[in-house]
Amino acid sequence: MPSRTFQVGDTFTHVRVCDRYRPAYYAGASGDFNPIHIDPEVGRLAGFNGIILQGLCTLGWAVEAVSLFVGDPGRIRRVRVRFSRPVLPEDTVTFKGRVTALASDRLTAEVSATNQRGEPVLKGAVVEAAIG
Amino acid sequence: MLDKNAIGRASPPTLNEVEKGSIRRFAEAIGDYNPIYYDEEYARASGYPTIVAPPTFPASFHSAADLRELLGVGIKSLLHAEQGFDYERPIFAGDRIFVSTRVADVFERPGIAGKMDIAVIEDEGRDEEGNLVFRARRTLVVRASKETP
Repeated sequence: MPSRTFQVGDTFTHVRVCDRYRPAYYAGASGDFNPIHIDPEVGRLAGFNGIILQGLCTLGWAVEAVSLFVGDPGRIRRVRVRFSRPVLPEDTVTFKGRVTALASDRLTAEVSATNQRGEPVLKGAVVEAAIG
Repeated sequence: MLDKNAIGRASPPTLNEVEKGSIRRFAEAIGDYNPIYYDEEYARASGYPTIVAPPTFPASFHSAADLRELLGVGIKSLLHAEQGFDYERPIFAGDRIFVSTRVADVFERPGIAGKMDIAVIEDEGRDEEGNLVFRARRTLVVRASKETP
């Protein structure tokens, strides 16, 4: 990987669309067949409009945003996230990241994400990556 | 209210063999086409012994844990509220990782529709030599059902 310099305050953006089959793909690959991701009726009983995307898929995108920024997913060392609101099929999610701390060997970024209605999906997720 | 006695209850380690095909399928499910997940030569040129798994790949690992048994309740629904991961190193194709699951905490939290039952579940992955590879911690909002597990 080419080395690059990072600075506190550097920002990055990443956009992902949740197509209508994404929860099914993610269920197949992860084994998370919680019916809330598969069965619209179960989603409605839980108070949503239908099925919702697995939080770990949303998190996968947030981590992808940081991996693209640091240039290598193998450098991710720590992740902390609180889900504000589920991602629904047909949602467009915009991830915004900012470098909040830098040490000689470690970069800390904060990532927030909103859907196309401007509602928060993740707030203040923290991702740390090894650098140097 | 979940039973506090569930705290500390754990499942024995379960072997997960990390296959290239599973890594590819997982990366495709996220829609992440970084060649490091698909192309052996690219991964080696990036300084790794072989194909690397996406950081959230432990989401696909199995453990012997049955949440109903660990928590001692029937489960009507689960909502994923928080997630943490700590990695000692990346996970590679060919890794043999032993995953065990334990109940780290159970408690109540005030919610919009009254008190919510919260369970914090911790997974730990170790290699064949017993070295820690990752820890994962998920916080779940549990709606228990009337039936016993």
